[in-house]
Amino acid sequence: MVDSVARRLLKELKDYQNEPNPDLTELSPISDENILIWNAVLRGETDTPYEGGHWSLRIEVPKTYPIHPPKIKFLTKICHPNISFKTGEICLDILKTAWSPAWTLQSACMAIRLLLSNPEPTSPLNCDAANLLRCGDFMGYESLVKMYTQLHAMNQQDNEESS
Amino acid sequence: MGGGDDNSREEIHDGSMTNQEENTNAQQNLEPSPNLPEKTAIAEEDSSKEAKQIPEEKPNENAEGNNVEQEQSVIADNAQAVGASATETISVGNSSTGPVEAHKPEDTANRDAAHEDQVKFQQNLEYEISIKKEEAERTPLVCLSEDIQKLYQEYEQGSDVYRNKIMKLAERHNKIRRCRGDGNCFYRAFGFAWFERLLLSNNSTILRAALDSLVATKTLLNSSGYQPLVYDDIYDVVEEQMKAIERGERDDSMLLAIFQTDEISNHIVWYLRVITAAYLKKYRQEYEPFLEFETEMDQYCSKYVEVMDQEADHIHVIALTKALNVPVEIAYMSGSDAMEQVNFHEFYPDNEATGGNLTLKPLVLLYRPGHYDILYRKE
Repeated sequence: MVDSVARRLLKELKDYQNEPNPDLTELSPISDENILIWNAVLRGETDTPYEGGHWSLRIEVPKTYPIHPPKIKFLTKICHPNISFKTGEICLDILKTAWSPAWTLQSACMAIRLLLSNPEPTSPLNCDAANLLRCGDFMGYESLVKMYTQLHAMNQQDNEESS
Repeated sequence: MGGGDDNSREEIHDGSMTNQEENTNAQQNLEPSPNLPEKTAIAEEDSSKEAKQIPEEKPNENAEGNNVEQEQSVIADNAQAVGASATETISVGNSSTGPVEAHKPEDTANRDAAHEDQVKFQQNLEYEISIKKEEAERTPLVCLSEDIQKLYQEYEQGSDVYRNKIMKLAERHNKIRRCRGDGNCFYRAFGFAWFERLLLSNNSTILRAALDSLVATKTLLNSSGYQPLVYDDIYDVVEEQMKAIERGERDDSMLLAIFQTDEISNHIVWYLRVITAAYLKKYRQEYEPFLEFETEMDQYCSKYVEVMDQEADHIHVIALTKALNVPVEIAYMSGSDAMEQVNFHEFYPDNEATGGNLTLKPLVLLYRPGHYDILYRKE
């Protein structure tokens, strides 16, 4: 029943549009034809090595949403212990076993944003980033993250915001 | 299966040179004289260079500031800068350099082995879960009712403690209806038994009272901080089913068909879950003391109550029966031979709230460790 999914998604879209979220600068279906595929843009948190970066996320909504979770991955390259550098896959419990319909696409994106500043190096998808954290090299970790943020997430026009 | 391994290997090729060497350095900073194989000389030289630039008290912050400056100049240089404190033998970010393992300090290798073990453990766990799920999916979400003798036959080869208890149970109960053991069985059994009881009651007062308590749950959900956005579609599904019973459009086989349909059945289950969560949150002072490890109620609910397939605990039963004003009796049947009989626990809502629901007979559920089914009492 795609109908009930569409109804829910339209409500979520309206909810986002009524109350714009500065940390999630975009959240919408990529086309009018297919409401099951969304694009979102996350803004990196200030005072973290992600500051100043903007990352695109691709969201695939299953037909059984919201009983089952959406599939979310990073399109923009990001360096983080729990995100695959290569595929953008995210390791976050609420996107898998801990999902519940009480989450929305917006709150799920915000949970991903929270993950950025709260990495979980014991279950890494990016071993290099995780290893730096696990051996306590925060300086090396932060500079690595900053480098990739500058390399991949700051090539848009919004550089001026951060500095 | 190999996915994880491949990934990590590829990751290593991506930006690894810098990291590996960063590791070496960090360990150096932490432990003054580690037993690093090979390159110790070069690395030490580097850390001494760093030490000269950095006042002793806050090495990290300053070092970072140092790095930031470099980053702002040119990114390519930056990449060098990150790797600069390492050996010169490796070109930074070049994925075509030789096997990474060769440059690994020993304990990094150990850590990676430990990590691999963990990945394997995780994979095994996921495999186990998927097998259990497959096994469970052979049972319909809710089954046809069976004679209680079927339950007895299940234990014919097994413990006579169970057989004796079932004999006792059979004195007052004649049928059992199984539910799928997918972690939702309490909610599904409760939902089906409740709707069936309403259907069979054929009593408009009872039905009205049930509808009223269902409508009231929306207020409960709002007061516990749930956005209507997340529950109202799901609520509509539940209400529609109850109204169809009121309109006389349902019979028992239709009810069974509805509860065997994934979508509707799961919507009902989840709505019962969110009611339970909302009730526990509203009366958190009362129930928080029962949670292990001083968990906070909101966190507990979002982890164990709202999430599908998470089994229900004692307090969930209390919360749901009170929130919906539905009396439930649960027969606890364990393999313990301390008790000859099956123990019945009564979950009756508060007296003052009972009002119009007095005539609703309690739902009867059978609990065996880890699982709920529905029982039918002899008339």
